[in-house]
Amino acid sequence: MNFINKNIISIRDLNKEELEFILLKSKMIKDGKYKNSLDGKVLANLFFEPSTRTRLSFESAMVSLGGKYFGFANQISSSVQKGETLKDTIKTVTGYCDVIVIRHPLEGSARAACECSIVPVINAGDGSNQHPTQALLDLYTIKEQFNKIDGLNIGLLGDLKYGRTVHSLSMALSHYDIKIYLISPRLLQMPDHLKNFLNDRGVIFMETENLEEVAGKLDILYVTRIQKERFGDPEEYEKVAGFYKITPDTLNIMNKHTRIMHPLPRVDEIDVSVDKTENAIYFKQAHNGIPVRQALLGLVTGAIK
Amino acid sequence: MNDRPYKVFRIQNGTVIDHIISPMALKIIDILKIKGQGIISIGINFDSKKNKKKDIIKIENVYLDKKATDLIALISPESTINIIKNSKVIEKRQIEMPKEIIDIVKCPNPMCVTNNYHDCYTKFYVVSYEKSTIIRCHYCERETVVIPALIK
Repeated sequence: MNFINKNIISIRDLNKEELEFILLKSKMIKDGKYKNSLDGKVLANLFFEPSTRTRLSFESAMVSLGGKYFGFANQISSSVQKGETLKDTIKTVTGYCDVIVIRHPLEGSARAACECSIVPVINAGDGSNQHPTQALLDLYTIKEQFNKIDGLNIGLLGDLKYGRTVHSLSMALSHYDIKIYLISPRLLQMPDHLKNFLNDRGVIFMETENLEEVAGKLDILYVTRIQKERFGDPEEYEKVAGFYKITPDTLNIMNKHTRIMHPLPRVDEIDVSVDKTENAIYFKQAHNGIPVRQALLGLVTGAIK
Repeated sequence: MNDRPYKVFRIQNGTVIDHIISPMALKIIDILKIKGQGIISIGINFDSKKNKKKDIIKIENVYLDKKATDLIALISPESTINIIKNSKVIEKRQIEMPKEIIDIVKCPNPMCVTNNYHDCYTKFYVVSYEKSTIIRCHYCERETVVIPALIK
């Protein structure tokens, strides 16, 4: 399978074989293969929007396989402040590196970036649209936990309207024989175009506001933060803030084997007392960002085949 | 109305777009980007057997190709095209819904990259076109129903 110079912009662009190949390479890396494979490769890490996990894990992924990185962590330290367009920034940076990772608040920014780049571009989040590397590490974590993806009942909870991680993850899951429970306040339901996508792919899903109604059926509960920064109206945010809170009591109405995932950062949607339970795997999930992003960096630069 | 000698001037050479859903003629001129191309006659709100009212456009000395005229399907899918040479119809053409629409429709998502940088053009894929035409933005991936207000 040839990934050299492939842009990783949207889960929509990847077929099941490609998803599985990335998961396979990620596992091989986690098992200790491909050491120093990124030696001599340079990453441009362009973060036009704040990030902790995604930015740091791309940097760590690069360095720990022998590569180097440069970049910026916000728009203030870039020429954007001087009025430079995104495309002009990319046309410049593309000559400085072997691969570009971009996070940007505008939707479609990564797609626009890859169209004027001579090196591959990886989308690290474009507004509330896509976050494909998060979806891949989520898939990897699910497979690592259950040794399979087919047959699982997966609940996606919280901000399904603005949360790009659930948009990408639901698209990725559509390649598998799973059942999805979309659990959210009415105001934050999954957008119609994504529900249409799931319908077209023949995915069985149901929508509810009530976690208790479906909690006992779930193998995985994927919790998301309400995306305060994407609300135009603060009053609308107040209506849904704190709508769900996962506590040890919530775990009592779930199966013992149910695993709690979260793309992080969390605010108050999972109580810290849940962290020490066996159900909580969100920090393991965050750590899996390293092998999965290493696999992607290696594959698109041709360092890993 | 019957005593009128003509509704819109006959043309000897060029393209006639007939059976346009009224009053979309001006929007179709926008879609085709032909304002600067020769003499264009426009008729709006003519009587029509099919739809009560219709618009018609005649473009002199310009022969629009199929790729161009298919774009009319976005807002008036039942329009017909006649190509005229030496006062004779040399081609009658039906229009078909295009698969891609480049830099004609504006994305309704204010957070789409195409609405925020002057050097980003728009591109959409036609998802379905049964009752209304639904298109998906190549960039922000949002789906939207085509309405005339979205034509650039």
